[in-house]
Amino acid sequence: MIEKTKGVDRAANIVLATGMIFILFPLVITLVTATQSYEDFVRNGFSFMPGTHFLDNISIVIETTHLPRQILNSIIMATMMATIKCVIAFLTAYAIVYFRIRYGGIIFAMVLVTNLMPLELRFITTYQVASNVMLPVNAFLEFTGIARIIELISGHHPHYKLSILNTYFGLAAPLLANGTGTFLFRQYFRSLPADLSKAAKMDGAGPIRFLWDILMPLSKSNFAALFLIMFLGGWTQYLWPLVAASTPEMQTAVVGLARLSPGIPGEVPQYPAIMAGAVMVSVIPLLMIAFMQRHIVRGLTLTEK
Amino acid sequence: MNNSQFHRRWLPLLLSLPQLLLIILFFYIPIYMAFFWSFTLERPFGGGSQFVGMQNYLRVLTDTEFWMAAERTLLFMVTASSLAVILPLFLAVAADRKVRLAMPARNILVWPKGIAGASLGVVFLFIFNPFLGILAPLNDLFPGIWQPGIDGKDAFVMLVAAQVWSGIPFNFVILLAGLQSVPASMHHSAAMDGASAWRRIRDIQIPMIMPQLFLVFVLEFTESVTGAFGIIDAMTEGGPGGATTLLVYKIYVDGFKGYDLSGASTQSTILMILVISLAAFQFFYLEKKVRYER
Amino acid sequence: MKTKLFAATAVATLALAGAAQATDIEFWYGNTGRPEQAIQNACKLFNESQSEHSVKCVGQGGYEAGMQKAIAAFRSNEHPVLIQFFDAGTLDLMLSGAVVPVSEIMPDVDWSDYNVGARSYYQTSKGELMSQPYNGSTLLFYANMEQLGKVGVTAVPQTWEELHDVAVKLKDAGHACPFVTDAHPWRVLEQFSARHGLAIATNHNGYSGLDAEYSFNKGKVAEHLNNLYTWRKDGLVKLNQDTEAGKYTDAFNAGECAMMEGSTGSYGAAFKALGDKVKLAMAPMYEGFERHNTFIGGASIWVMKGHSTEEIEAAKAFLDFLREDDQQIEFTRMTGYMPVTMSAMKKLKESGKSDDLEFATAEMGVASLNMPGSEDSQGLRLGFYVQFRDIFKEETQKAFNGEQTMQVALDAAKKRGDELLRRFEQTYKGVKLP
Repeated sequence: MIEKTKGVDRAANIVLATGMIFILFPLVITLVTATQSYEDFVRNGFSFMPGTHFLDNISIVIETTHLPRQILNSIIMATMMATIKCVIAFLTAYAIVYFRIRYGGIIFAMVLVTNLMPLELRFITTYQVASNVMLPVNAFLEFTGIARIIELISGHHPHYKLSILNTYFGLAAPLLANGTGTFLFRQYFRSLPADLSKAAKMDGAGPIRFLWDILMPLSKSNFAALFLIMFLGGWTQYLWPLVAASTPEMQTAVVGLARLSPGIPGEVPQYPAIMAGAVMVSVIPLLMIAFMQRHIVRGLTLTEK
Repeated sequence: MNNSQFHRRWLPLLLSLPQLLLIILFFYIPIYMAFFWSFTLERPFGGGSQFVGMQNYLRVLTDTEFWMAAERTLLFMVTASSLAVILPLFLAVAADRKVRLAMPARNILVWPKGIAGASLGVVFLFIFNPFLGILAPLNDLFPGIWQPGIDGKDAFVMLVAAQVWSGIPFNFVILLAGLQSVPASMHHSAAMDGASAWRRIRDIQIPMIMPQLFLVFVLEFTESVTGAFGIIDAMTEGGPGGATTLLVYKIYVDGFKGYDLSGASTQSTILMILVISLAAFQFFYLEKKVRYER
Repeated sequence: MKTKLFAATAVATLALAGAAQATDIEFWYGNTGRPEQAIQNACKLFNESQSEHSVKCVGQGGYEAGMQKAIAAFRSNEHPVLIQFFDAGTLDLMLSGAVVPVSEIMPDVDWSDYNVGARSYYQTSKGELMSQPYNGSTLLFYANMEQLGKVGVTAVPQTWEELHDVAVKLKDAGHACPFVTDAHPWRVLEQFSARHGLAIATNHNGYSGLDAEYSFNKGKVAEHLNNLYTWRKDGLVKLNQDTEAGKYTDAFNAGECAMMEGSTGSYGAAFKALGDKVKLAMAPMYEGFERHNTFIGGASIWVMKGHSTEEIEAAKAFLDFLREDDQQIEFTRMTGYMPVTMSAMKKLKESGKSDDLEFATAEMGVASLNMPGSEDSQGLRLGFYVQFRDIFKEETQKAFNGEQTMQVALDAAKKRGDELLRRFEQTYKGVKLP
């Protein structure tokens, strides 16, 4: 383009600079405050001058709070969520697209509806289910009368109890009850040439061979995008981990950070150490975003459609 | 693609079983239970539950606290969502141009995706602390001008700022992707017709990304109703004096802090109906007004 | 497929049951800070003192959080044997069907040795203790004598009128925070009413029936809250959010504020921070009122239903251990909470240590609890009272912010509180107050 766009471009640079400052400002403040000593902070108040106590503040957090353990919990939970999600979304989409089944549409609709209502709208009762996942089994036994039969035969009324609260699986599972990913893979499979599976069938490959040898390798970059998005999503979850983990040892890093009170209790807030905690909690996802930008942007554009 | 599909009776069901089990157990059953509980009075420790008909609905719908929370939710939805869409729109239009800052901006503007609302809340709480934070000097000059712990409006502003900050990455990415899919030929021909760069933004780019704008608005609306929980819990816990108690937070407080399982279920059910009708309205009514290219 | 699922279920259930039969038991508590250290210390001592039982003490981060967790845990059958609940949850627990009265499983203990105030708060109408009083506290008045001395005040104010005068002196001398409180209903409503001989609800605060109604919105409580409002406007009183420290106890301990009303349980931290500068008094009265007893605050330990005999044995042993005089005295020394039995108090006095500053709360607190009582100062039997406290805080907060007048706030709190009481009554329809 040859025409003059200088005015517009200058405006664009200004807009972008403002946007970046808006984003970076809290992050910079966090980092700077995390390097100041508590004494300096109390004396000088808010300041943009970096100090030299970053490691001291980190060690205060490590020694006086559960945050290190909680960061480990976040890593486990987010990895678990991302892995399970990739597997189940892939399998479901595969079943819907590559099999001639009458109930395919029903499954897809059932999955799709889940995206309408986030966990925040149903967590009260989801909590009750998580506190005893055998609830539907019991209800089924009661409803069908099998419970009565068992009681007559064995002499005691069957009632099963199994709580997944305060376990890693319990932290992850209810957050996986949505259609994210299934739709992504479905769209992707449908964009692949139909000859792909036709050829596989002609070669005598069964559905499992086809899935393993052809579809999986082809889906690599989709897996990467979905994994990263789910990992970040798991890492930044708040409400569910807050209620589903009942001990500090099982809580996730973000929940721990929101309740962080490092140092000796009963003093003015230890902001430098709290900010050091914020740095610890945010550094893993931020590095992932900064360095795996491409996959994440791809994931963002694909997952939410 | 008939003969490109496999024929198996049970395998596809088996393959989708893990997903189905998860959504039945943790989506459909909880929703059914919430609906069921909204007609009963549950004892906190269990052991007693009685059917009370519409009493819970009557109680919730005549409770001024509920309506105040609904009003705040609406206000939050409108202010936070508009800002969280309009700001990224500006940024995306700017980043779509070949300017120096476009590349770093495309990276940095995605960073908030890695920061949980609650983590940001902790940081914002410090930055906006009236005695120790960045506005402390302002308070020294004009005592009492910034008091998020006392003045509900200040606290609300803080929440909106945090919500907008968190919402930038997704909306930015989607809108930018939309802008980039506008064919270059359209720019060229418009430029030939003598349309200035400003005009082209207004007359070509914005209309072309209407589908994306529509999408981010829909998602942002739901997000602002539910996603603000972490920010609220970390920053204000619904205070001061309930000024930042949005519906999602009220449900949490009633259900978990107040052991009012029936009331919380009733409010959840009402909110579910609200969210679904909102989505339906946007889909069936607004979508017609948007030029779609699918 | 289905049979497999059932088999898996059965195995899982058995495995769970097996795990629960270990000799270890859990004790959940809510305290944080110094009291938490003292509780952990007691657990350690108990576990070292014998080898038969082992108690794992698990902090829940707060009384309210502990209660929520306990409810959830009980519903999922993962509840601990022992749990510490705070005063406000008493009625909810009494009717919950989730607890066993301590006097029932430990009939041989001389429960009458417990302070009258502690007994009346936690016992049934037949005089049976539901729970074992543990960290007993009450409301006291704290003054930083160094700061009061600077304006020539040498005696701790005994009445609100005196307190007001001292606050004015401090303010005139340039003090930014003469008196600090968090306006928590435990302080400004419950303890205030009790010691002024007033009820906050009809039916003697609910003791004679679930159909009680709140009645605090008229009279002296309303007047007092209006005073706090005016005094705050005048710069004499600060609330949590007005202080730099963000919390009234921290503000007092850091020297930001000169006086506060606080639990005896706050003394440990205050003494550690300020040493002999802190002086205690009974919470101030308004002139023209006769002083009655204050309520016992803090918390008691409840035994939850559904556990094996071995676990109950372990729980009994731990409760016996905590009841020992020396344990109570050590707990008092570390935290400021008061000894809850008369024998422990007697032993403390006989040892001569009760004059030590470390034990300053014991005598003052017990004296406050032992003031002449009335039917309205036994305690509270009000359902969903924990939520009522939140409502009270929310409404009065709005008044302090200037969004509504204090009277409107109190009327609204009464109305919303009564709705809670009615819902509680309906929820436990047919259940008798024990």
